[in-house]
Amino acid sequence: MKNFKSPLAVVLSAGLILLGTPGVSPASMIGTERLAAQSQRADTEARLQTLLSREDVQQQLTAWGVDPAQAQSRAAAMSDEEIQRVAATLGQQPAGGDVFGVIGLVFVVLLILELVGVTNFFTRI
Amino acid sequence: MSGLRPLWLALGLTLTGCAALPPSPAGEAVQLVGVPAHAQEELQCGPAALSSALQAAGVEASPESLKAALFIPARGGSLQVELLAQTRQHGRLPVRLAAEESALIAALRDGQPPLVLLNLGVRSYPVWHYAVVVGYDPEQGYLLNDGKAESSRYSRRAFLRRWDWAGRWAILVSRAEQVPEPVRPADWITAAAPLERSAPALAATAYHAAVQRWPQEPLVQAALGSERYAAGDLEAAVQALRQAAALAPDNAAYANNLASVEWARGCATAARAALAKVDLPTLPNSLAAALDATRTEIAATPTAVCPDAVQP
Repeated sequence: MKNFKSPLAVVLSAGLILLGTPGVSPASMIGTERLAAQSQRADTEARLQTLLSREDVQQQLTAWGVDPAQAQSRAAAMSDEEIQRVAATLGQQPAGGDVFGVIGLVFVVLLILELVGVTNFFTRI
Repeated sequence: MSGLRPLWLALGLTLTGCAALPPSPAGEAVQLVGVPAHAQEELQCGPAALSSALQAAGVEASPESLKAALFIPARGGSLQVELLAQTRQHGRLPVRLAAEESALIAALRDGQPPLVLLNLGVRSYPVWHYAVVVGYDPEQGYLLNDGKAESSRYSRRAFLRRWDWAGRWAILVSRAEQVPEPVRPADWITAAAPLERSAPALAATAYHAAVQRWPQEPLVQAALGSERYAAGDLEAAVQALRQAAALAPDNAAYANNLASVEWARGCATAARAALAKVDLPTLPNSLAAALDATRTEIAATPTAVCPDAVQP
């Protein structure tokens, strides 16, 4: 019995030693998948904030009774799921660069409002 | 929100009614050779398309061999995530392309056939189909391997509509050694990162290729730094993470990883300095928790001796 146990013990302790080796990132490292997701999110947020800070967009928002600052802070607080929707929607705009040139200001502003979820806007139309 | 529906519908109709096709991308026609076309069985477009793309990237994988892993009978097709997973299983990177026609054409010019999702139905009744783009001609449109024994010709308008209605989803099945031309840094890292668990050597190759291509991109340096750290190469890790932190000084996650590695190599002072600039209360909760853990960790005395010459 003893003879049987010791090779097993060797294998098990070898496994424990391997587990303890600093090969795997420790708890305090933030993994690359998360870093990449964070970077993708930052890109989308930046695109949305660029749209929201355009003067013509802000004028249109104000004309519809939406505070541009509120829309901007709402955009900054979006969940990951929401930001993915934004990325998908902004990414789907017809190719050719400037979305305003292709689909027009009013549509872009409506799109933004839908995306950032400024709901009280609809009661005022 | 429902009060807006009619307005959306009206705008949507206007949009589809008046949107003109953007001008054709200029340049010469391009057609890739060496991308096999597979005649698919019913509902087997996923295996057929992935097999074409894998073979173009030098992996012998028949549609038959991919079928078991890809086809979901209950759904009558294959899921995008399964295509991504199977690409990684075969040692290649599934890299998302920008949702722009120009990215598809740039990929073709770089010799890479994009695997695309098409909607052969309409928006409200989608019929999904995978295909591989193998050619573009400004006069004649697109050439696709779409499940027939020969490539099929699509007019540019017909192709773009079907692609647009499927969310403009396109990936490249890429070797890890070299980044294809139209790929963006975050998409490359996103494609490679899951390989850290299943095939660390392949992830390392992909990160090194990324650093060659984008040495000034903080995310790329941070990815290499984490990978080197996991491989036990602390000096290379700290070099890369210092670069990442210098290129993006406001990024708390990079500062956190730099601090962790500095501490692991015995440099407690440098670790504290890396974290000093981070303003914890402004961070989202999950990130703040990670940084707090790192702070607690580096409050203890490190076990190693810092190799840096001057350690005040």
